[in-house]
Amino acid sequence: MNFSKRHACWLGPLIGFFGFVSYFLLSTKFTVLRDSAVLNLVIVLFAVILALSGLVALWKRSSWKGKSLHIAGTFASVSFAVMLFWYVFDLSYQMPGTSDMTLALEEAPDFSLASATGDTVSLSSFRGKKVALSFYRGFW
Amino acid sequence: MQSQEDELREAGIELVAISADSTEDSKEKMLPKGIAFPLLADPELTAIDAYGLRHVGGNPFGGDISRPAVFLIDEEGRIVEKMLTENWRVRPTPEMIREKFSGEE
Repeated sequence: MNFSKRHACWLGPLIGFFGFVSYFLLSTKFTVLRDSAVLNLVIVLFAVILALSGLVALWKRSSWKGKSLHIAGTFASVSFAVMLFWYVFDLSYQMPGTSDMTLALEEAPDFSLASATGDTVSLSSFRGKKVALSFYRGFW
Repeated sequence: MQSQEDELREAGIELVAISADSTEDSKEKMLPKGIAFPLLADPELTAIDAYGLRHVGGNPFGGDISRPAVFLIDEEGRIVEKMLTENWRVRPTPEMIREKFSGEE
């Protein structure tokens, strides 16, 4: 318990920060970790538990000055956890529902668009081939 | 994304990607990653609208973007599968695309 008393106030937020940021930088590169986000959710929850355990360990014995650091650390850890849970379970669902127009499509509508290499590419030029046409949100 | 394309190409499937980003954005951010498949710019959202995918205000910095979606199109230009999602974190994998196509044959 000595260890958490001393270090939880900064280890908690650090681990929480790592758990939050690494979802976007690392986990999104692996299908399972991206889709379920389970690894990062566990990390940020662990950070909250760690920070909280430090706070509980010294709650009765420490002065307010000693507590304040741990209260801040717990607050920061909880913040990272809340942000990740919010992103995973709410924000990433913030889209309008699939349109009736999309659902009604049978033939693939043709288009001609400029590619990043400067060519103009039309869908009809892929006739005779199988195509996976991927619309993505982009990089804003 | 490129290794996923290699996987599809081996299965005889061409990957074509479309976003509302300008060609400049795609060139700067994607080409250095060694991407060989066509990255198409649809800043006017014409193709995105033709497929009913406009996400109004979807760009947090303002403006409309595309919903994520993958359409599998056969040799005759028919859509054989619509891989839609209600959550932009979750996207189909090359294995899923290959399986759907092979299920058609």
